[in-house]
Parts: sequence; C-alpha cells; structure tokens
Amino acid sequence: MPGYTKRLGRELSDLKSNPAVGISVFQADDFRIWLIDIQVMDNNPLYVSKTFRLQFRFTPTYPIEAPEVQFIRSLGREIPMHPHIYSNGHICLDVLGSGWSPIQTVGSVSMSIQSMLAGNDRNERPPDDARYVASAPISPKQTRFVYHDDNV
Amino acid sequence: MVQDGELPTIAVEHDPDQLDDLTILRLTQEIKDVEASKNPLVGEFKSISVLLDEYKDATFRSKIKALGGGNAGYRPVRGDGNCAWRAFAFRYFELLSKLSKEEIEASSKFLQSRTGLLDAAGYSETGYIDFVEETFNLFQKLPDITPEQLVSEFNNAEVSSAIIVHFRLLAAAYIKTHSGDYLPFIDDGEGADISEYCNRNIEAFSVEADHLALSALVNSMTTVDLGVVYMDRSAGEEAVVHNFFPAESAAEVDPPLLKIDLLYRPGHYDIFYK
Repeated sequence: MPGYTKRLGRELSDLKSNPAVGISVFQADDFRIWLIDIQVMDNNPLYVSKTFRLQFRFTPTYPIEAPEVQFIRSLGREIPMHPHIYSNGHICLDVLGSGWSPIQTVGSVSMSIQSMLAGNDRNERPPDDARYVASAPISPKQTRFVYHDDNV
Repeated sequence: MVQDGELPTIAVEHDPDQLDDLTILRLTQEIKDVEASKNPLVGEFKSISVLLDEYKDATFRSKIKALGGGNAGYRPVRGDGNCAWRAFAFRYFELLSKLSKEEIEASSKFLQSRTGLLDAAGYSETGYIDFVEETFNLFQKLPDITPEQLVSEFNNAEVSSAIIVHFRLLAAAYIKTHSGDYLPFIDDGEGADISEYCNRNIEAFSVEADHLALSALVNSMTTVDLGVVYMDRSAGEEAVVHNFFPAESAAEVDPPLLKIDLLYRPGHYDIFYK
C-alpha cells in the first residue's frame, strides 16, 4: 500500500474519533477526494448558522506536496464571502501553496480555513474575482495567487 | 527517453488551456523522470580533482587544492532545495553503516528518544509518524547494507523525502522548544513569529537550509558535529569552514559522535570527504 494511503487512513480515523468543533467529514470513500463540512463557531454575522463544504483532492505525492483544496457549491452549501475566496471556490491561503509543509493535515488545514473565516468582517470577494473566475484553471494549485491584503 | 541536448517535446503536443489535472500530473512526472535520470538525488563519490576540473577561477582553484589531495572528495546531491538536508541525512547513515551492530543499535535508540522533541513542539503523531518510521526502517537495514544499497535507498524519493521531513521536523521542533535561544536571530525588528519562521524556512519541503536551520539540526540530534566548507569567491587561499557543535553534548549517552562535512558552493550543498 503506498505511503500516502496509510497517512490518509490515519488522518481519517483521527477526524472521526476526535473531531474538531465545527469540522466534520461529509464524504471520504477513497484516497482521491474528500469532502469536509465546516462551520464558523463564533457569532460572526457573515457565517452564522451556515455550513460550507471543502473539497480536498490528493495525489500520491501527498503529504510531501499540498492537497488541492477549494470550496464547492452544493445543496445548502454556498461559497463563503471572503476577500481571499473567489466565487468559484478557489482559496488564496498561504498554507495551501508556498506555506505548505508535510506536517499539515486535512484537519489542520480545515482549521486554518475556519479561522480565516472567523477573523473576517468584510462581505466581499477578491478585487479581481470576475477576471480570475473567467480564466481560472480547473485546479487552484495551478494558480500563483497574489496576496492582495495581508491584513485580512 | 530524452537524449542530452534534446529538449523534451512532451509539452508541445498539448494546448496549455486544455490540460486536465491528470495530464498535468503525468507531464510533471515525465519532466521529473528526465531530470532524475540525469541527476540522481545522491550521486557517486568523486575525487577532488574532478571538482578542480570544473573551475578556471584562481581563487576557487587554490581553495580546492587546499582542501587536500589523496582521498579527499565529494558526493554530489541534487539541487532541489533539499540538498543540505539530503546531504546531511545520507552522510549520517553512511557513517553509521560503518559502525558495529551495537553502535548502530545505540544510535537508533538515542534518535528514537529525540522523537519526544516533536511531541514537545506540538506536532501531531499522525502528522509525523510515517516520516519517523521511514528513518527507523533504514536503521533496521543498516548492519548489513552495502554502500551501493545505501545510495539506492537514498535515490528512492519516497524513502529519502521521508527522512528529510523527519530531520526538518527535528530541527524545527528544537527551535520551537528553545525559542529564547533563536528569537534574537529571527527577529527582523517587526516582531518575530517562531512558528511562522519554522513553517516557511524549515518545515516546508524544498526550502533550502539556512545557517539557523543547520544549527538547529545539529542541536536537535546532539550526536553530530557538522563542518561546512564554504567554497566561494571570498578572499583567501583556503576555504572558510563553519563548524556547528551541538549545544547539549551527548557525551553521557552511548551513541558515538559522528562528524559530517558538507561542501557549500553558493546556493548548493554537497557531501565533502576529507
């Protein structure tokens, strides 16, 4: 069995046996794509009582290389409003690109995204949303994101 | 198979806008395979005279000559951002492989005990265990391993990458658990974040080791003295050598102390043999 499936198997049992508040596995039937539902636990009016769905895609190079992570739309699952989240679900977050390290896990990435939402009070998309979404690659990992505003 | 001097033609067949993820993955792998066939992760030992032939510059030539003749040499390591780590790790196991079974056993036990650093730094076992296990799998094979087998183990990317991550985490964990010692060197005047420094410079794969990283690696292992020979254009007949000694000595424990030498040329590390 390749190494990455062993690692993901361990991560999955952690996520199920010891789930973080507001983070739950919606679907994980194979070692290719997982869907994780997240909620923002404080009373941030932008996200209160909403649930969002993250899609993780893995390759055999995981966790040496980052998984591909984005929000997806589904019934009752919108793309959260955030100045670093594009309307196609792509997320501009350091830990998913150059800040990735093999010690990160699906759980820790989910928590980073959860806290990125919790700390936001701006009901807006990135300034280049329309242009980016019109020409975005299928995989957000093909994008070299420019960090618009480090203060968000 | 792409021959030398011939550019890979694989990318030309595809319209970049039409590439799906699997194709991108396959093409990326093909490029990596071509690179790997030309340039192994860990190469064969070469005599110092081979290095001398690479340089016309008088400063370099006098420094290389001063490194010594006879058995002196170097072993090239691929320049992929992990070279210092890979060079260190390979040499660590190469030196161990020449020791007795008992000494290898003692070294293994001692390094196992350092896993406590990872817990103290707050890393999750799920996150680190596979990498640590790969290191100790190799320890198991050491007593009977041949030099060729060791090179081949390190040219298996999965094995070598895992050991590098293990060593990176040990170094980062040492900094995190001794932040007072490192903070003055990390602080850029705008307030330093130890955790972010470790993430960007040490934990992240393929980011080259800086001076602090090497110092932390040596401190985290405690059984290795590291010497780095700086082969650069600075004035002088002889290359400057920076020595890294562990802050806490392992003198009271069983494992033998190892001496690793690296050869630094601007932007790249290889293994140096005196």
